[in-house]
Amino acid sequence: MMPDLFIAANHRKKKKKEMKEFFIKPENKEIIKDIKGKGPQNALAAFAIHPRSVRAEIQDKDEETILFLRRHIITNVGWMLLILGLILVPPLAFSFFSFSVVPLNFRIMGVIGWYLLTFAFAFERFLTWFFNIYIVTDERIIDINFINILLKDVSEMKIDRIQDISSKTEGFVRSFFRYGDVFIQTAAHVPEVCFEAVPYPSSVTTVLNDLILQEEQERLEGRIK
Amino acid sequence: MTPFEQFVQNLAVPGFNFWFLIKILFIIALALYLAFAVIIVRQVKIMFETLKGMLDWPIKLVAWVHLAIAAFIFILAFIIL
Repeated sequence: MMPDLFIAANHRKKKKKEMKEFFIKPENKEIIKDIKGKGPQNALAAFAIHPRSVRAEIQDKDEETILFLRRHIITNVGWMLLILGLILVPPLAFSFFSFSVVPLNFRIMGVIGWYLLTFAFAFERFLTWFFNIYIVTDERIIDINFINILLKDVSEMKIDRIQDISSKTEGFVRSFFRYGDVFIQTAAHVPEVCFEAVPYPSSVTTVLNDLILQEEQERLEGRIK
Repeated sequence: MTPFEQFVQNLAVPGFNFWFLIKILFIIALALYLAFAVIIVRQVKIMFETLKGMLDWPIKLVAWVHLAIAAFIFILAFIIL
């Protein structure tokens, strides 16, 4: 009798082949055409299909990353404008007020302190965006939350625990830049997962639905572990 | 004279060094900032352990340079204030 290890390896190979097939199916070609090339596969991308280099710590060695998502880059515009305003505060303040009563060394340290705090705010906002990530693998969904500089939260759920998926794009900015929320209802201990402000939410929903169908197919064929 | 300048001049009472108090507050704030910079370096390291293969070294470098600048300004505050 073959060892279980061999069965698992075959199961992985078959699954990888199925995922590749998804991306060449004629009915999925429109989705791929729609999303490929628009989500550049660089480190700052908000949408990437099959990113080769990105892996979560909790992923198994042979677990393939199907989708890599984070908030659309346009969601950073608000805090970037705020940073621009904060940068302009000292020159504007010195042009309106003389601060002659404040010794020069305190003025210098005040300006340095202001720019330090501005940088800290910008870096913290960037890290929060950069590390808030959703990874869809051929087995599960991994939600990595970097809530603030002191709080990190990693949750995962198996694809076969997903019960319902819906997406929502509302508002002019979201429609124009084509991003929105994807809501995933589950039977796991985390009842709902929301992919917030991710690019191409309807395409994400399609990929997830296809993964669910594959899982169901595997269960019917008795291939599921 | 602006209201701020009036306020500062009113604080100039004998036996009370207003700017010494501000210096102490500056140093406390910069010490807290230094601790924050250390936390950023630690957190960035932890996040890159959680998520591998994305822009590792540039962000780590920024975090370390930020820590070095925070330490330098902390020392600078002792010298120039």
